[in-house]
Amino acid sequence: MPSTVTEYSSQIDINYPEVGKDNDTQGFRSNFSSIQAALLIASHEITDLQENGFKLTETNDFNYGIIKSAVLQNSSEVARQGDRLTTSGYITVDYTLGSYHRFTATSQLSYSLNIINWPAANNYGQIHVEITPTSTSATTISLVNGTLIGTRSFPLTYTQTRPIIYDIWSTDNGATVYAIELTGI
Amino acid sequence: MGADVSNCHEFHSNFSKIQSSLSIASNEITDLQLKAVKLTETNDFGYNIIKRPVLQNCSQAINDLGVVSVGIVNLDYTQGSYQKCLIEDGYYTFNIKNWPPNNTYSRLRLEAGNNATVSLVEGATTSSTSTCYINFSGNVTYVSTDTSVFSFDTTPLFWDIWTIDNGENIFVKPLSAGSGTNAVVLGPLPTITNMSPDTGPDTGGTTITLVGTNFTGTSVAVIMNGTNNCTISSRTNTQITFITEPGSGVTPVIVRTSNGSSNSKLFSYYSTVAWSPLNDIQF
Repeated sequence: MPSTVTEYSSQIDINYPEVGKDNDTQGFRSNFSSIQAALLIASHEITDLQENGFKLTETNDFNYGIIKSAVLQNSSEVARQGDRLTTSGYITVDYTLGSYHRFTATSQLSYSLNIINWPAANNYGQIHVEITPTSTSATTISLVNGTLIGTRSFPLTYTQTRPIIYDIWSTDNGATVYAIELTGI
Repeated sequence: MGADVSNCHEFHSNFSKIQSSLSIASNEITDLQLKAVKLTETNDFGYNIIKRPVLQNCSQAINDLGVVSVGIVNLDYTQGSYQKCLIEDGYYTFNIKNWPPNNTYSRLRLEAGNNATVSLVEGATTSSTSTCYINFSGNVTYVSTDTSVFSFDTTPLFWDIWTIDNGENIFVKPLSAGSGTNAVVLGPLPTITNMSPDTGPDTGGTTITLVGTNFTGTSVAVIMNGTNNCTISSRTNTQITFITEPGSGVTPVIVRTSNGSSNSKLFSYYSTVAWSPLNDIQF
């Protein structure tokens, strides 16, 4: 939408006052009024750009607005170093806090990944979760609402100290969650 | 009381300068409005580069095609980097178009659900195994798992597909377990340009001639009534003569080769129930 400043600035009578005439001061007031209105509009439009425009030097929240045909260069995604897991139960992973979540998990325990705050339905949300067991004793992992793609299925038991990494995604706000193992047993 | 101004030049000059300045300001604001990224709107970057972003809580657009027919399935990259569809028993060739320009790494994830398991009841599905033969058109390299035959039930099939050269070379990684090793670069798909005749009795036995292209490869078949394989009398690369199976109504006819399925032509069955004017005479 183009600026509307000229709608007001064009009302300035640049030929006022006229020579030899008894010029009504209303003409001055009208011109100054048009100038004031044009500056006011300009101020509002600049404020709108300042408040809703993208800032190169700040965090920008697109509020789920669509970015089309963008080519990303030297981009990265927020990674989170999670807590060291010492008790069996749910591992809560907040999608909004990062795209990569790393945990260290005490072995001989069972964990259930629970991804929360997925994007709205009909948006593809994807995260990676990395879990490193502390020993080769059995560590069992499952995924809430999750289906593992491939030949294996949750719950999975690992006897390794290498990181276990999953690619996890949902397209329906977490009602259905799919995962693939990026590292095998 | 009015102002009797003997020399108006200064006023005119000032008002003119003010108006000119405001006009320039307006143009500059318009330029910003048109080019600036808006946080609350859809922004099209026109493949311009965004450097050094750190992304958090982002998601990607989905293109849901719903149920797709056997044969070529066109996927438009511009509609979403996650594409969904529903398939059933049959041969499918996914053709991805509108990749981004050369020297951009573009990736999409494809989900193909089993339409046979979809239920009208929300949240419920019916178990039903479908077997699909999946290939991708173009110069395709299958990464890590050379798989094209998938028997699956309620869990969809998934692939990661990417290119860096506008789709000239495509890499495909099946994420789902499958079988078969014929996921190689395929030959051209068959195409039917003419079918004659296009009507026949419901008892079958009509000799039909199909004219087209690429009736080549192994396991060439003519499919009527969904799944019936018709008896082929003769075949060349451009012509097939076959005998219709019994049927009713209007049914699509397709040619299926090892490269995939053709377009369809419609064949109409007519009833052969004996009619006698005597039947209408009431004594």
